[in-house]
Amino acid sequence: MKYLSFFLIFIILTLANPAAAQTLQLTEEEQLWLDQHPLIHIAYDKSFPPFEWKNSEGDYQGISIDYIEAIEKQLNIKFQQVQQKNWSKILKEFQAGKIDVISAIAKNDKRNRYMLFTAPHISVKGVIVSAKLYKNIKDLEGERVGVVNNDYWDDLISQYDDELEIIRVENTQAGIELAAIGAIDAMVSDLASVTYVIHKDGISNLQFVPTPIFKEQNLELSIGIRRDWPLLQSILQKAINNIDKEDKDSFYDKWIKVQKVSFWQDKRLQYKVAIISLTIILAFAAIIFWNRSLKLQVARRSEQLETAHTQLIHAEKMESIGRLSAGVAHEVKNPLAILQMSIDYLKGEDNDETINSILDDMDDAVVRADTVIKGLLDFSREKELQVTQGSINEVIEKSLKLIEHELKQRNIQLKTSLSADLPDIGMDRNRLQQVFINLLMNSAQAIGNLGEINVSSSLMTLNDPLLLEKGEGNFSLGQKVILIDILDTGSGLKKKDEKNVFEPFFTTKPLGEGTGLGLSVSKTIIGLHNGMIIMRNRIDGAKQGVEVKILFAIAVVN
Amino acid sequence: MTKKILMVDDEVVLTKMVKMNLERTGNYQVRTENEGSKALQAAREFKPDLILMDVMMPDMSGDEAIAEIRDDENLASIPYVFMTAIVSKAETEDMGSNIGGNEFLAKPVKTEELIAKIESVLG
Repeated sequence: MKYLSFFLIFIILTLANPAAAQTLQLTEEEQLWLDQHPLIHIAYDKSFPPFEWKNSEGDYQGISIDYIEAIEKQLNIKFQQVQQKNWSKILKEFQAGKIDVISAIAKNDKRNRYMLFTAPHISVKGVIVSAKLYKNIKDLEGERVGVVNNDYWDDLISQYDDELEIIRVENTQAGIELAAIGAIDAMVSDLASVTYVIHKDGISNLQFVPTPIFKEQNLELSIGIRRDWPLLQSILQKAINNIDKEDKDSFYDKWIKVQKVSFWQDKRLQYKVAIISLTIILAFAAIIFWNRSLKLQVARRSEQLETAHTQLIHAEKMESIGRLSAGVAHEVKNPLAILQMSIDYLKGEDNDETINSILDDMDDAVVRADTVIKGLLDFSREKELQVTQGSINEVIEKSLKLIEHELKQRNIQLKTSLSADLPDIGMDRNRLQQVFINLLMNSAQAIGNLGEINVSSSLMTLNDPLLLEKGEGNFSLGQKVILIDILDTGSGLKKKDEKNVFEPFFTTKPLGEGTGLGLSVSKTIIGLHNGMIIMRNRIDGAKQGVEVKILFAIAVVN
Repeated sequence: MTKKILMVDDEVVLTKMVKMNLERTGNYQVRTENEGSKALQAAREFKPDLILMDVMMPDMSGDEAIAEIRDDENLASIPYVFMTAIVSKAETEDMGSNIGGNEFLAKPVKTEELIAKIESVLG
C-alpha cells in the first residue's frame, strides 16, 4: 500500500503511569542504596529502533535512551554502559551478573525468574505487515512469517508454530526488508519499529494484515533490573513516574514523528480525526494516483496517436497513389504513346535542324513523363516479389554495367570491392537491380561531374549499434549479415533532409528531374527482402558525400 | 517481302501513327482495328504475320481477342505481341519471361523498339 506511511501518523502509543510528580522523593534507604552503588551497569540493544539503537556515529539513541537519560538526570547518577554484540549476548551477560540493568525489555515468565521489571514505560501495538493482500490472519496459515529472534513477538508467535512457518530474523529492519521483497510472506513486529523502518527505508509496498490475535496485544517495555536489587527497581520506578508528561511525549515525537501524544489521548477524538484524515488522505491518494495514471495515459495515448497519425498519413498516401497510378498510367501512357509515335514519324521527315532539335526535346519530355508514371507504378506495386536464390554481387555488377555509360559521361570513377565469400540469398533480382540503379544514379547526380563512387559488399558481423538505431529492420547486434556499402563524393545531405530521404515525394532535385519516389520505393523493396537501408552523410573522414548501407540477413546454418 | 501486321487498339490515333511509322519503312503492311471484337474477323481476312494487341479495350480485352484467334486452327500459329499501358517497362520484361511466353511492349514505345520487337518475334 503506497500510502501506508500516512496511516502511520496514527500510531497509538499509550503511556503507562501518566501521573507525574514535580520533585523526586526517594526514601532514605533508597538514597543510601544509590550512594553505595556508584557503578550500575546498563546495556542497550544496538538494533532495536526506534526504541534504542546505535547510530552511524556509534552513539545510542531512541525513545528508551531518552528515558534513561531523563532518569539519570532525575537521580543525578550516571549508568555505566556495557557494550554488547547483540541482544542474545545482553541477556546472557545479564544472567551472568555482568549487566545490572536492561533499558528496555518486555516482561515474560522466563525473564521474571531472574529479572525485576518496572511498570512498562513504553507500550506499542503489535502488527503484522506483508507485501501480499492477506484479508485475514487465517490466510497466513502455512506461510513464511518473520519475527525477530528471541524478542517479545517471537515468544508470542511461537505458540502458532504448527500453523506458521516461522522465520527468525536478526532484527526488525531485516524482517521488514525481507517482507518488502517477498522473501518472507509477512513480518510480525510492533507498530513503532515497523513505522520507523518503513520511513527510514522508504518502503512503500507493505500493508497491515488484519490481526485479531494481536488485537489487545501491546508490546510493553519495562526497565529490567537484576533480581537481587529490588531497591533499584523502586528507585527507577519513581524516577520514571517523575518524568514530565510533556517530556515523555517528546521522546515519542522525536523518534516516531507523531503528533503530540496529549492530543491523541482523547480516544474519541483520535478515532474521529483518524477516520476523517483517513478519508481525506484516501481521497488525496486517489486523486494523486488518478492524476498520475491519467498523465501517464495521456502521454501514452498521445504517443500512440502520433504514431497512428503518421502511419495513417503514410497509408493514405500509399492508398491514393495506388488507386491513382493504375488509372493515371492507362490514361497518360496512351497519349504518350501517340506523341511518341508522332514524334518518331516527324523525325523521319526531311526537317531542318531547328525542327529536329525541337523533336528531340519533345522526345525527352515523353521519356520524362513516362518515368514519372513508371515511378508511380513501381510504388503502387511494392508487394509483388519474384524471389529466387541468387548472388547479390551479380545484381550489383549488372546494375553497374547499366549505368557505366552515365558514369563515364560524368567523369565519375567507379571503385568496386565485392567479397567473393557471400552466400546466395533469396531475392527479386529485378527489384534489387532497380534499387541499386536508383542509388547509383542518385550518387551520380549528386556528384554532377568528376568524382568517385565506391561500391563494396562484404560478409560481416553486425557490431554498430548506430546502424540499428538509424535503420528500420529486424536486426540485432552480433548477427551475420551481408553489407552493401555505396559511398559517393557528391554534395551530401543537408541535416534537415537526412530523415526525409525515404519519404514518398521527397526530392532535392530540381523540379521535373525527380519524382521523389525512387528512394521510397528502394526502401520498400529492401524492406520486402527483410533488409535494412540507411542513408547518411559520410563519417569516414571524406570531405563530403553520402554513404548508403544496405543490410541483408543471411540464414544461419547450424 | 513485306510483313503483314494487324494492330488492334482502341486508341484510333495511335493505330494510325503506328501504321504510318511501320509502313514508311517499306517493310510492313499494316491493318488496324479499334475494337477487340473485330480482331478475329480481321485476322481471318488479313492473315497477318504478326498481331499487335492492346490489352485493355472497352468492348473486348486483348487476351480475350487473342484467345478467340488462337481457337481458330488456321490462325493459331500467328505470333502476337501485347501492347500495354498499365505496366512499366521493367515489368513487361518479367511478364514476357513469366507469363506463358507472351511478348509484351509497354506504351509509350519508340518506333525503333517496336520494330526490334517485331523482328525478334518474327525471327
